[in-house]
Amino acid sequence: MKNFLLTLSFLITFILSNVYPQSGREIMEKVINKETWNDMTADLYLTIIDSRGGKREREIKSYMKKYGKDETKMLMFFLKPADVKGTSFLIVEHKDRDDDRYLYIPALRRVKRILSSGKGGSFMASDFSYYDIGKPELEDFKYNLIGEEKLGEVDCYVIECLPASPQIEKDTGYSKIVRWVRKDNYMILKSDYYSRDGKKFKVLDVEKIEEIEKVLFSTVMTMKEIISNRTSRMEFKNIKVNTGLKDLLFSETSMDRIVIE
Amino acid sequence: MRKFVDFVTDNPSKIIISIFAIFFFFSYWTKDITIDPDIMRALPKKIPERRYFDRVTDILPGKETIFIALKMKESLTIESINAVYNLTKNLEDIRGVERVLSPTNANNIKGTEEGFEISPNLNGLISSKEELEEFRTKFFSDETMAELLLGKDRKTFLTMLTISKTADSKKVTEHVIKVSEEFEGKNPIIEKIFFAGKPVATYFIGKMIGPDMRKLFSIGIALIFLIFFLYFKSLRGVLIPLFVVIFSVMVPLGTLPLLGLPFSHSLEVMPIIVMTIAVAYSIYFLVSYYQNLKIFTEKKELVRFVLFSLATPVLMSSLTDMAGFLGLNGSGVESLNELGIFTALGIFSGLIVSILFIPSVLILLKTPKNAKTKGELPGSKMAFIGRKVVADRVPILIFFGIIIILMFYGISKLDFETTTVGNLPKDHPLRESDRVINTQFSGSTILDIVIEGKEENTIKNIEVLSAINDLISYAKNLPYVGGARGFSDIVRKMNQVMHGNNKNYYRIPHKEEIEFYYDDGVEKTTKINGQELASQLIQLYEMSASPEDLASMVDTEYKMTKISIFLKNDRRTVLKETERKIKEFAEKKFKDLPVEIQTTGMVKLFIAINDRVVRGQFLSILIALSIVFLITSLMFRSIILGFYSIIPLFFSIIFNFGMMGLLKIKVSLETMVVSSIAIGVGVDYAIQFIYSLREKIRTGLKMEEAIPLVFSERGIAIFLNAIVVALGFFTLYFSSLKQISNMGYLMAQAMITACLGALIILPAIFLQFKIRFLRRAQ
Repeated sequence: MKNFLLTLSFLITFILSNVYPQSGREIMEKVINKETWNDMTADLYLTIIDSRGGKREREIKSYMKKYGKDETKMLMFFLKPADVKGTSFLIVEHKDRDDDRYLYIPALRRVKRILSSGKGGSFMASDFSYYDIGKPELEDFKYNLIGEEKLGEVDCYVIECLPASPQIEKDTGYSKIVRWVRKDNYMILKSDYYSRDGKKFKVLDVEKIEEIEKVLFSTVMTMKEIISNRTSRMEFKNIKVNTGLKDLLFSETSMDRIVIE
Repeated sequence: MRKFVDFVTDNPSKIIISIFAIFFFFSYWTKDITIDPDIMRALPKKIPERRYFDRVTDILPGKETIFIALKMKESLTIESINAVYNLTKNLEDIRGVERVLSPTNANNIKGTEEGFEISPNLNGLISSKEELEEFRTKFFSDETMAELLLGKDRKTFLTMLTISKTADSKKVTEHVIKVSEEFEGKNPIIEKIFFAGKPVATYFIGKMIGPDMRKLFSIGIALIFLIFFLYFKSLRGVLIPLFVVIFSVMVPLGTLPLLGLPFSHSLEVMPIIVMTIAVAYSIYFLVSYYQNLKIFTEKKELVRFVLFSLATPVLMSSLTDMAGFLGLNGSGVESLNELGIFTALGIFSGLIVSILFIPSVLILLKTPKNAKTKGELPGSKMAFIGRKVVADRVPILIFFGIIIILMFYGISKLDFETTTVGNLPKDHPLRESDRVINTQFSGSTILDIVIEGKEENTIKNIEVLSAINDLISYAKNLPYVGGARGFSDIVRKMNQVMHGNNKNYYRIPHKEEIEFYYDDGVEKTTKINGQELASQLIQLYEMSASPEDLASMVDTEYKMTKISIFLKNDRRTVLKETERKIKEFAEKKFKDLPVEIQTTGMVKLFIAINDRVVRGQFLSILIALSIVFLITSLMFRSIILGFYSIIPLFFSIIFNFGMMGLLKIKVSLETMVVSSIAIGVGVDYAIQFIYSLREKIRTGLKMEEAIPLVFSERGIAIFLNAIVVALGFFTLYFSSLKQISNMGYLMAQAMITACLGALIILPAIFLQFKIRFLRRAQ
């Protein structure tokens, strides 16, 4: 009898582990801790398209560098539209506190610190929030694997991410995120975002994934805001990684120089 | 005709069963009736003003604004500010709310030498005096906002809530009022909450209409049946018309869900109108039935006689009644078309049930025992009046001539003013709310000035921004304007903040600016391009504010923006005058700039529709008169008789407009449709009169002899009909809503005047002018 029970429990564990071989958290851990870069350079094309097709376009040269696990710096130079050319934006992303953000206004020759409106604030008036574009923290959410689905031809895990604390919910503005993660490379293909009143209000679609120097990048992403029917599209081009960007670049003093390599 | 009469009198049971089957069919469908109180649906979609309004709200979201004023027991204290903060949060959570602007969540644009921040005035509840002081400083740093959101008594706080364009205004408004009132109950610091704005006014009006109509319908039914009972003194005299009425109302009501249409605002008066007109048809049949009871011993013969003599005139009556309502289609306003079509359908049902059901029931029922005495007395009295008309035709014509002159004087005094709040009863709480918000704050009526260019970034152009700024300043000084806000205010504030809060920079950047900067610790100056500065300030704002904030002010491509002008009342003349002055100023100011200026807004839309109805109504009157003329000409096979049939209507219409001028009844959507309706219904009396008169003259009687005879035979039915119809319509007079009440009075008056026109003026004209066609007939 004892043997029978042992065998039965082993069988159940075996079957279950085959059905859901990993937990939601394990999957998200792989998503977050993939092979990554130390620094990167890219051209970013950000387009906001309203419900009638009206567009607001931005062309940005961006530089990013990681400082250990806890800090990432991003410097962006605006190239288009012409009237804001020369404007630059520096973001210092911290793990445990609000980001530091600085904007250089060429007309005034001044760098102004923009006091942070939290990670839930909008990134450049788009539908991406600072949280959406930053690196997610594993501990911020609790994860449940709620199923497996095919998105097009691609097999995905469907993960429900729930804020780990009310503060995280407040900071991000999300009461839930449902993510579709590719089984083969652990890249996120789609995310549904739920507002604090529990309604789905944004949908992220990753349209293109590219591998550059063994690092996988989501190079084309669209975020659709459901209520206003507005879409924000981000496209990265000319990605270069680990070129050894200097620390000096990511300081207020270099914000008044348009760096085009 | 004979075939029809044979059919009815031979198959009474089958007809009754069929009628009941139809009745149950439509009654069954009424269970699916949905009520659509959304005022926007009732508004025409094709008119240019509506198209423009829809286009603007599509580009710059938010269609209507609700104003909520919180009167506190204390001024700016921790408790009062926390209450404002909590209510704001509660309101922000309501689905369908696009945006809430309150003293606590208004954006504070703050800048120092190093930093810059756009954040709400309050991020959480206040717990200390220091935090309160910090809030006060933030709040008063934006004078425009403080002026807009803090009352003159400094105890009343304003919250402005924008309803999303896709939301159901009524539901959102209802929810907002509920949440606010519950909040008031739980927070003793609040002395009172006031609501204002177009959605609130229409919500309260909508809310009143339902019970109002039920009340009116009950009064109407009770009144009419009291008369029936008093006149016929029998149960059948009451129950038969009751069924006719219910059947006639059920058919259009049941048709609505069958066609997938909701019961909208414009249909609210439909049941009363259909009820009244359907009752009128019953009167003709029942009066004739009772009058002729003593002549016929065989009840089938009696019913055949009644049908023979009445089917044609009642058919004609209903055709003209329907024509009057279908004439509403000339107004070009879809909601009135709907009213016209469904009322016409109700009338048609009234006709069918009257000519089929009433005779069938009368055949099956036993002849009343005490019937022989009925219908005698009034006839002789009416003949007396007829003889007076014959004798005093000249004084009669002079008397009515004087009245018409007086009425033309009244017409010259017509008042074209409209107001939504003014439609509510004087003691309605919304009136006080509106007064409080208009005296304490900038005003609760918003007129939007839309500035639109063809090229991208036109709105960023500093010349355009300066012109917008000048237009705002100009508007603020106009009478009845309490405030004005626009995108240029943001640019000015950004400019000031980015220049160390220096008030001299609270302006749009000039073409060329001199800026100070430090190079290695040495102060230097440089000339910079003001346009670039403005664009970069806007970009800074763009990167700091929420996308929704920006979206309500300027479109994605910076082609369109709007200035919101706050007016202290919603009267048509005030709005028109403000609009005229603003347009005049804008034409000069924006003359050489690549933009177009237009005005829009909910109140402007309502006024545009009202004006359209008023203009369109003249066409409706003409259409209704033409159709009625055509029908009566065909019926009498005489264009001249067709023309005489509509003479009483001219009198009725002139009297109506004249009295509106004399009694200062405002020309509005509701009061204007009266004439169309009156034409269709009012012509019945002339038809009935001329029809009978011609019959008498054909028998060889002279006009002078025929008239008193017609009075004695048909006069009572015509007169009773007019009284009952007038009473039916007059029930609307007891409405709590001023415009509906006016409509009730005017419709009742129109019926009486049309009846007087047919019974008094028409015979006087026939006699005085010795109408030739009648002689030929003789």
